[in-house]
Amino acid sequence: MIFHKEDASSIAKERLKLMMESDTLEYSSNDISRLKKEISALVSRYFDVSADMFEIKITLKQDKKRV
Amino acid sequence: MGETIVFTSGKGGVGKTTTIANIGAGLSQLDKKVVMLDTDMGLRNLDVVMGLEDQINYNLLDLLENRCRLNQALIRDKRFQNLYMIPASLKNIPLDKYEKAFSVLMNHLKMEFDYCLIDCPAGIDQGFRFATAVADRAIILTTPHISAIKDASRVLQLLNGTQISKIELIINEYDEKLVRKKYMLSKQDIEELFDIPILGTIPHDTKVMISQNKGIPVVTMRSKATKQFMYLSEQMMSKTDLEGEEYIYDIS
Repeated sequence: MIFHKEDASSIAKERLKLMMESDTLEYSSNDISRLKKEISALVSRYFDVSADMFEIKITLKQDKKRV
Repeated sequence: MGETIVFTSGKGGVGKTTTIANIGAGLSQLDKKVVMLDTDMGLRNLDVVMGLEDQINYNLLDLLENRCRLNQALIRDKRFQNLYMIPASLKNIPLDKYEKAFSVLMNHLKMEFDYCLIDCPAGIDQGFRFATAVADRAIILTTPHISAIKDASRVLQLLNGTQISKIELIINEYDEKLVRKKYMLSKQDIEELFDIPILGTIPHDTKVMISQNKGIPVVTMRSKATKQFMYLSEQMMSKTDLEGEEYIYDIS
């Protein structure tokens, strides 16, 4: 995991975001993290932007929950 | 018609009982008629925090099993105007078969009281479902600790899609100084993670422990926590009482 700021609150927030996502999707946070990494790599291959310049969000359509 | 509000958290020890006791006392000081119900069967504590443990004759289970009348189970807190409580039982038995009786009781209480505050047991199993099934509104309590927030988010997930239409968050043990140093998650961070409104925060305050040891709600003392509990009580009210007015503003 890459943290932009190394302070405790930012780390906590990132960890919680990941945990809350994997809870909703019922996948492990490790899988979500890997999926996101692969998608970022893919996006970087097609567009000239580095991975820290964009964010990947996964949206579940059936109950309109943003994760 | 009053409102039934369940206080829940997932994780134990984040301050549900303390918050109910003080918001209950706060609302009664704002001239509202309030009843507090402890549904933590087997581990009752609301009576202890309120200092009313020596006045218990009957409890919620007696009421649900028709062993007593409502006014026998209702304990009036003589130090406040219009503040009542119904204690939990010391017996920890499955509550499934009392769901109907509980809903009948709550409908009755809502006619007599402005606010019915329910102290929900920690955890997300049967006791949680029992307490949340009768609520119109939920307040999720958390501290800024990562484990408490994680559990609170699980609770929010479970409450989404139930009959509860209004869900808000209260953050206990909040410390502005630690937030500024970036040691602690900020109110904004937590609001962003949850995507529900934050009713307010409660600071850590030694006076809370002192008042509980004495069996009196902290709102009767001058303290940092008192200020916030009174603010939270007002916030809870204004959200209900101003609803009609807000609607009018929407049209214009």
